[in-house]
Formats: sequence, C-alpha cells, structure tokens
Amino acid sequence: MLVLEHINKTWGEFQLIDINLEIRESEFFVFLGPSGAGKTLILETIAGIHYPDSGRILFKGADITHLPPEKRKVGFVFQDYALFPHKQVWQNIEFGLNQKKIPRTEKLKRVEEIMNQIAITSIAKRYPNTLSGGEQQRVALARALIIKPEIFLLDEPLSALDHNMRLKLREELLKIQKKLRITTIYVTHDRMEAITLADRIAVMNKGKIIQIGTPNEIFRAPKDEFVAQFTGYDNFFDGTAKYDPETRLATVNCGNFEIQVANSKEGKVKVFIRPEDVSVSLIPPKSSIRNILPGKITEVQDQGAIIQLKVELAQNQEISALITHQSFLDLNLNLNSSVFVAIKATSVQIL
Amino acid sequence: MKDTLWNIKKYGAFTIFFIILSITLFILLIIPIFNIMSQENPLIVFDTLFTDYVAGAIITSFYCSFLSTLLSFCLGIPLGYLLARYNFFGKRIVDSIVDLPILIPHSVAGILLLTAYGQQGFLGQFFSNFNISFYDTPWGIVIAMFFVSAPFLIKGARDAFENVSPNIEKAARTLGASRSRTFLTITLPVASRGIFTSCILCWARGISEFGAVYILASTPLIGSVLVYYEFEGAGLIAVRPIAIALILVTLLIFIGLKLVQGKSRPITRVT
Repeated sequence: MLVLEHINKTWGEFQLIDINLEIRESEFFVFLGPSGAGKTLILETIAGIHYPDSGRILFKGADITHLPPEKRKVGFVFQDYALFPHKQVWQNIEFGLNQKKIPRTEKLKRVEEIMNQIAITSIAKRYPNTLSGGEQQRVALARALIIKPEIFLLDEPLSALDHNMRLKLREELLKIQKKLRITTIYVTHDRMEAITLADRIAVMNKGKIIQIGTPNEIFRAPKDEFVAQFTGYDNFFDGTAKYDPETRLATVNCGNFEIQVANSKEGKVKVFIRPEDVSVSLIPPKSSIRNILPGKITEVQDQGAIIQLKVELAQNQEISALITHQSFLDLNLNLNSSVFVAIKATSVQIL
Repeated sequence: MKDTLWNIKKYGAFTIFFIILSITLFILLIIPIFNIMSQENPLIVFDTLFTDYVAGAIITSFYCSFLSTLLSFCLGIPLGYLLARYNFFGKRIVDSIVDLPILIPHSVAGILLLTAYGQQGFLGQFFSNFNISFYDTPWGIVIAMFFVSAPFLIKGARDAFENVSPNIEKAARTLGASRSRTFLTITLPVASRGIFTSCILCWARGISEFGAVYILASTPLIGSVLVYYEFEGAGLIAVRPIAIALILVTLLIFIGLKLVQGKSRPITRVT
C-alpha cells in the first residue's frame, strides 16, 4: 500500500540511507531504534513535511514523493502533542474539517462523535494548557483521526506520559487501530511498546533499516549485534563454535566455559542470551537443559517486581539473570552465594 | 511559579541585597519624572496640552509613528519569520544589519537618511518620480522613525515566532491546511501576544525619536522636535509644561495598551 523506494535524505545531523520498505494495508508498523536513528525523519518524510533527496514514495501505486502534506491524508500525532494553544479542545479537533467544505452541522456531529469515542467530551471547552499529558494526547489522537486519514503516523506518542498513563493509552491505541483497521506507522525507542503494538517492526540505526520482521523474528532471531543488543540480549560473549552433526548442536568455547547452541555455525562467533532466559538455582537442575554453569552472585539489583542478578561465571565474565522477587526469597540468595545458571540451547543466539 | 517578595524575613542577604539595588534603580528612574511634575501647576500643563501647536505636534508624533509601525509590521513580520525558521547563508550578516540602527547614534542615522532620501539622494530622486519627497515632509518623519524602530519589531517578531513550536505548524499541514493558511490561522495567532508587544515597542520608539527625524524632516513638528525648539528659543521654564504634557500622554497610552494586552488570554508555550 505504501512503498518507499531507495529513499535518501540528509536533514541537519539526521539522515536516511537507502530506505526500502513496503507497508501493508491495515498493518501496525513500528520503527524501533535509538535516538538519532532517523525514525522521526522517516515519519515526517512519509507525511510530506520533508521531501527525500532521492528515491520515490508510492501510495496505492501513485507517486506521492513531492506531494505537500495537506494533500496526503495522513494523521500525525506528535510526542509533544502539538495542540494549538489558542484553540479550545473542540476547536483543535474541528481544525482538520475546516480545511474542507463540510456543512457546519455535519462538522459538529463528527466532532461530537469522535470526542465520545475517545472519551474527551467533558474537556471540550478547555484550552490545551489546562490539560494533563494524557488528556492532551487523547485530543491529539481525536484531532488526527477525525479527518479519516489513510495512514496514521505516530511519533513516540506515549514517551512524555507517566508509566500508568502510557500503559493505558497503549492499550486504547491498539483497540482503536484494530477497530478502525487503519494503516498505522509508529515510531518508538521502547522495545516493550514495539513488541506489544507491532504487526511488523523495522529496527533502525544511524539512518539505515537494519532488520524488518514480525516481533517474534526481531526478538528471537536478531540479524546482527546491534539488533540483538537493542532488543534485550544483554548477555554476550565472544567464542569459537564447533558444530556436532550428531547432536545438531554447536558448542561455543568462551574461554573458561562452554555453551551449547541450537545452531550449525562454526568459527569465531558472538553468543547472545536474554537475561530472562537465564534461570538460577542452588543445585544443578535435573532437566534436559543443555547449559548448566556454576557461578557466584556478584550483584543484586532490586527492580521492584523482578530482581536482576549478576552471576560471575569466570574471571571478568558475568551473566545477568532476571528472577521474580518471590523466587529470590525462596532461594535465600545473597551476594557471593554459589549458584547454578541454566540456559536452554534454543534460547541462545549466535552471530 | 515564582516566590512572592513580601516576607523579607524568609530571604537571605543575597535577595535583600538585590532588592536594595533594584529600589535604587527605580528611584533613579522615577525621581526626575516626579520632580518635573512637582514643579508645574497641573492647570497650566492641561492648558498647554490643548494649545493647537502642542496637540498638533503630539498627534503628528503618534500618527507618523503609527504609519512607521505599520510599515515595519508589513515588512518585518516576514523577515522575523524567516529568521526564526530558517538557516541561510549570511544569516549572521542579516542579523547585524537589523541591529545596526540600534547601535549607531541617531544623529548619524539622520545623516545616513538625509544622504539617501534627501533631494539629491538616490532614493530621494527615485521617489520624486512618484511625487513623494522626504525632506521636511510627513513621509520623511515616517521613514526616519521606521529606520530607528523597525529592528524592535523584527527582533520581537522573530522571538515570538521562535516560541511557536514547529510541530504545531506540521500538525496543521497534515490536517489539510496550506502553508499560508497555517501561517495565518496558527502561527500568527499563537505568536500574536509577542508580536503585539513588539509593535508597542516599535511605536513607542518611533514617538521618542528625535535625532534622525530632526535631521531629515524637522517640519512638520513632532513632539520631540517641538520641545527642542522651545527649549532653544524660550528656555527651560517655558518648555517644561510641554515636556510634562508629552510624558503624561505617552504614559497614559502605554499603560492603557499594557492593560488591554494583559486582559487578552495568556497562551503558554506548547513545546
């Protein structure tokens, strides 16, 4: 439905390098990447706020590369809400309709409808600077949706909100998207947002798309070191892999310990393990788990619902693990406790 | 939120020191004004104000400065917007040129203007084709006021536009508004408070100008030039009621404008 072909663009210190992408009808597509990756620039290029230096943008087969934003039928939601400070809530929402010849009665009806849908009728007569962040972002959603956009663009819309409001609006946003079946492109640096919202994710870094895939593909089969680290593979070790066709496992020698991996790679590799895939026990667990390594707890960090442990496997080689607060208490763990970490061969990634 | 200053005990030596300095500054500014007022009989001041030549000069001052502010507005708003939104080659040079009229002595500004807009001047000759002359005419007053006061409007407008988040302009565009419509219905209204303030400043600066106007167009008489002539011709005592009348009218009008502005709904910046 929306195709980006070889898009290149430099704007100040930001750039896009050879972006190729196809976004499907009704899809929830997320750009995930650190700040400075060019996520906002790509979104604003799709909106027509910037024109690419080279390349083409096709929408339903038509070339819209140089179409101005007001002709593109895109709804845009900004991180800072970008409400018009001199207009009341309902006037903000009405603005998009004022740009077309729509009878006044129909306009008011549509404004009322959308305010009901987003649950902001009670603040219709207020000015933006009197609203909370969550209320402002609801108004921004209503304002963008009332023009019935063909593409809905959201630039980190939740990152200025407090934690609870963020979770709540995230859920509502997903509901609205599924109900309207509107093609949505969403920019974030938060991998939890990406994984909960996206049908597909594009991971970006330094102006390039590194990997495109479903959340499962991105988070379970990262293509390179950057994607692995950015998607939460916090543990990584250098090693040498040797494949054993009989067990169909590769054994990676990391110097002082070995890790078995469900992979056929050989030679110099990097091993990546998510901390939530590392389990901790006092005695070696009796199970089919391939990797059971002894170690010593060197750090305990209470993160509220979960606890992050650092376990020293060998000199200067630590692995971090996440366990629940309850199992932390049950195991009676302390600094310097001797423990065993267990990692399934299938949860280890090697690149 | 700011602290109120009433409860002196709560503040340390630092704040008290600053309060003392501020009061000193205020006294230095206000004493001359109260002093001159106390020297005169209010009735004489009142009579002076309504003599034809004084009232006429004050009206000329206000009217010419109004026209010059209008000119500054029409030409300065676009420049202010460009300066706020774009980086371009030579931006620093443009900035310095905008500042120039504030930096040079106003008698020098008068000499510049007389050279350019006088009967022999390049611009003077050009405009004489349209039967417009600047030497000793209201147009000359307007141009002289424009030259020295436009920078206040340009810089004020630039600051006001810089305070308008580019994202609200982008939002308006994606909602279907063209560039010019976005400027007229979003950018300009949101910046209006700052622009209004800079217009008042520009107007006030025009009214208070003496040097440049005196050199390019000493007639028709404006307030400041009238005071100078009376002082030269009749001395300090004779000129004082006119000076007071000028101060009072100016103060009244600007306090009035501040009140109007204060009543308009405040717009907090949305970033």
